[in-house]
Amino acid sequence: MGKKRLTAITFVITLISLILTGCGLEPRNATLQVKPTACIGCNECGGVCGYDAIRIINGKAVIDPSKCVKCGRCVELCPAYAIY
Amino acid sequence: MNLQYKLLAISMMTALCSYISAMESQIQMESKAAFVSTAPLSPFNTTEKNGFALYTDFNVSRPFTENLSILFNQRLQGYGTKSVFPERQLPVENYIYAGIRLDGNYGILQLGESNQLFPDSKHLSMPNLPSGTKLHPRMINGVDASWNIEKERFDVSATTTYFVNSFTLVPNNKSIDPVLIDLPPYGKAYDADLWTNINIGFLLFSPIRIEAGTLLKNDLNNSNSCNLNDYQLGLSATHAGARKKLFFDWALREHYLGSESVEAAGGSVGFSTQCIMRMMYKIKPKFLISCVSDIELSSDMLKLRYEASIRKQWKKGSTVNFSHCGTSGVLFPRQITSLKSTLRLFDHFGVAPDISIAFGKTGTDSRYKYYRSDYALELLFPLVNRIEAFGKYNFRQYSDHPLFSSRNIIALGIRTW
Repeated sequence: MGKKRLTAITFVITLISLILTGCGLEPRNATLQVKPTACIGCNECGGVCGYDAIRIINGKAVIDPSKCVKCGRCVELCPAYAIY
Repeated sequence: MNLQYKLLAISMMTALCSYISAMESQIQMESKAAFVSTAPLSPFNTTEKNGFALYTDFNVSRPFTENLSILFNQRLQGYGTKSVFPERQLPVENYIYAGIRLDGNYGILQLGESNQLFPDSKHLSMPNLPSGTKLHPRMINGVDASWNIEKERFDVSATTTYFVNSFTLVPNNKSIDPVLIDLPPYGKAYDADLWTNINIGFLLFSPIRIEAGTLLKNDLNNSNSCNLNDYQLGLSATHAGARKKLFFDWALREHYLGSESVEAAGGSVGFSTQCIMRMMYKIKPKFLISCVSDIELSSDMLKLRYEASIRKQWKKGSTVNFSHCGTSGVLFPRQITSLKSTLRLFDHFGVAPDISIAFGKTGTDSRYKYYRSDYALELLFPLVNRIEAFGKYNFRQYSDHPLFSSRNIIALGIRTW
C-alpha cells in the first residue's frame, strides 16, 4: 500500500472522529479506563483513590468499574495522562 | 521509630542485598528523597504546608539457569506529613513482589506473590459495606500466575491473580462505646477477588490477525453484583511500507462489558465498537513521528483519544519528545501538550527539562480551560554502568481545582537508566 494512501487514511479517520465528537454524542455511561501502553505502573492513581477501585495487574493499573465512582482524582494526578 | 522509616530501612537493605548478590542481574532502580511544599487549599489547608517524601523502586531479574529466573520488585512511597497532600488516601505504601519465570518451548510461565502495605491510610469507601461502618485498609496480598506463548501463527497470554484485601471496619460514629469496636459488624475483615485475563490471537492470513480476549473478575465474598465480565473480539493488522520506513497498524474490536453493579449505576454495559489506528513513520532509525487515534462508540457513548508525537534520539541516550494528546467525549476531556527531553551533554553531566500543559473540563465546567501544568528541571550526574545521581526541581500548578493544590518538589536521588 502506498505511503501517501496510508497517511491519507489515517488523517481521514482522525477527521471523522473529530467530526463525531462535535455531533453531540454525550459521554453518558462512559467508564474510566487505563491506557495500558501509556501506564507506567507507579500506582499514584491507587494512592489517591478513595474507593479501593484500582489494582495493579501485570505491572499496570486496572480500574474496577464496579467500585469506581468516576470522581476523577486519578485522572488529575496520573503523571502519564494514561487514564481517560 | 516511625513505621515508615522502618519500612524505608528494610527496603533499602533489601535493595542493597539484592544489588550486591545479583551483580549479573538486570536491575532497574530509582530512589529519591524530596522536600515538598503545597500552596494553601481551602478547606483542607489554610496555610502553606511543607513536608518530606521518600520514594524507592527496585526491579531485579536474576537468571539462575538458562530457563529459570527470579524476579523481585519493591516500591515504597511515603509522605512525612499527611496533610501536605490532602488528596492522598494512602500516605505510605510499600509494595513487594517476588516471583519466578520459566522460559522454554512452552512459552513463558511466571508465578509470583505480592504484598501491598498501607500504614496510616485514610478511610475508604467500598460497595456492600455494612451500614454505619467505614473501611480502614491494612494490606493487599496477591498471588498471580501467567503464561505467554508466541508462535508463528498464534499467540496466547493468560494471567490469573488472586487478591486478598485485608481491612478493618470502623464505626462511622466516633462516639460509639470502645468495647463495641471489636464486635461485629466492626473489626478486622477481608475481601477476596479473582481476576482472570486471557487473550488469544491467530493469524488468519498475513497480515490480518483475529483476536479474542476476556477480563473476568469474580468477587469471592460479596454477591455477584460486583463481578465483571468483559469480552472482546476483533481483527488487527500491521502493514509495513516500502523500505520499512512507514508502519501502519489498525485494529477493529467489538467489546462487551457486563456487570450488575455497573448496570445498576447506569454504567456502560453492552456492546461497543472500538476502532484503533496507529501510524509510525521513521524519518531516520532514531527519528520517529507517530500518530494514534482510538475511537470507542456505542449507542449512547463516544470515547475518543488521539495522540501525535515526534521523538528524536541520539547515540549517548539523549532524547527529545514532543507530543500532543487529546481525549474527547469522555468524563474528563483533556488536551495535553508536552515537551520532554533528556540531554546527556557530557560523560558526567546532563540536563532534563520537561514542560507539559493541560487544558480540560473539570466538574461541571462546560468549556475547556487551563487546569494543570508541570515544569521540571533535572540535573543528571552519570556515575557508572548506567547509574546516575540526580537533582530535580518540579513545580506543578493546578488552576482553581477543589482538591489539588499547586506544589513545589525538590528531590535528590539515584537511579539506573
